[in-house]
Amino acid sequence: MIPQTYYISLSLLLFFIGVLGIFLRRNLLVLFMCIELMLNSVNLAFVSFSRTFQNLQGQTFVFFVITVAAAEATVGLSIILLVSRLRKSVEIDKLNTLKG
Amino acid sequence: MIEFGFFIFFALMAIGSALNLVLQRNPIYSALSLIIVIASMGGLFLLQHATFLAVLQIVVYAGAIMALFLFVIMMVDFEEEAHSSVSGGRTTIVLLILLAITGGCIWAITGSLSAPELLTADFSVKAISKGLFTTYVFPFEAIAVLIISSVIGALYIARKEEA
Repeated sequence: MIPQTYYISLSLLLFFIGVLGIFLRRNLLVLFMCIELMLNSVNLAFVSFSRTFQNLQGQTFVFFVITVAAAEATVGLSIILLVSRLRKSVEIDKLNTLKG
Repeated sequence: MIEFGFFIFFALMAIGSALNLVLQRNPIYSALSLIIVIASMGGLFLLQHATFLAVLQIVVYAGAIMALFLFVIMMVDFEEEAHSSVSGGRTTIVLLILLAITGGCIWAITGSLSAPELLTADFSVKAISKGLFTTYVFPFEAIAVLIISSVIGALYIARKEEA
């Protein structure tokens, strides 16, 4: 039997790799993929807690997280498509209309 | 201890592909390694008796969402993307901070919780769908509305301007 802490550690590690990607990369598509990676790591934590406490609610929440991630992916990707059409680039450094 | 072997295999595959996702310069390779992360996550779900979610992970994530990603990568213009890379300066600082946080968290939680040996709860697809259609029927219907509106929104955002 694998201790639950292994799963939580793995989930943490993957989440921080996702955060690292958000910090390091400048490509909108890759940033979006990092967000998906973080969502996935949270799903892993949900499932492992659901297994530990023998409770199905965690898995139900993962179901909802996956569907919301699908909805988010459709809208986000169409926004990225629109940005690339308007700006001919998906680098976030070039999206400086608001002078941020 | 074959279960532990599978765990190590999936975990190493997930971590390696996640690092590859972050450090890879070409978005296509990032997307492919994200598919590997998702598939190994499905394996980890299977190890924890979450069969329904493992299938869902492969079908919805690796099948549908990542196909969408690959199509968008195909359509987005990567002409100027050639030297898009990891930005220099703060890389090491960020890396150090994150390593410290990760190490601290892992140290803090190690050895505090462990799952019971036997699965006593009902983790079948039947039990999950029963929950979805009784206790969680309102969120379930709300998700349907969300998906419809996101499809309509995506179509509206990504349409060609006709003026």
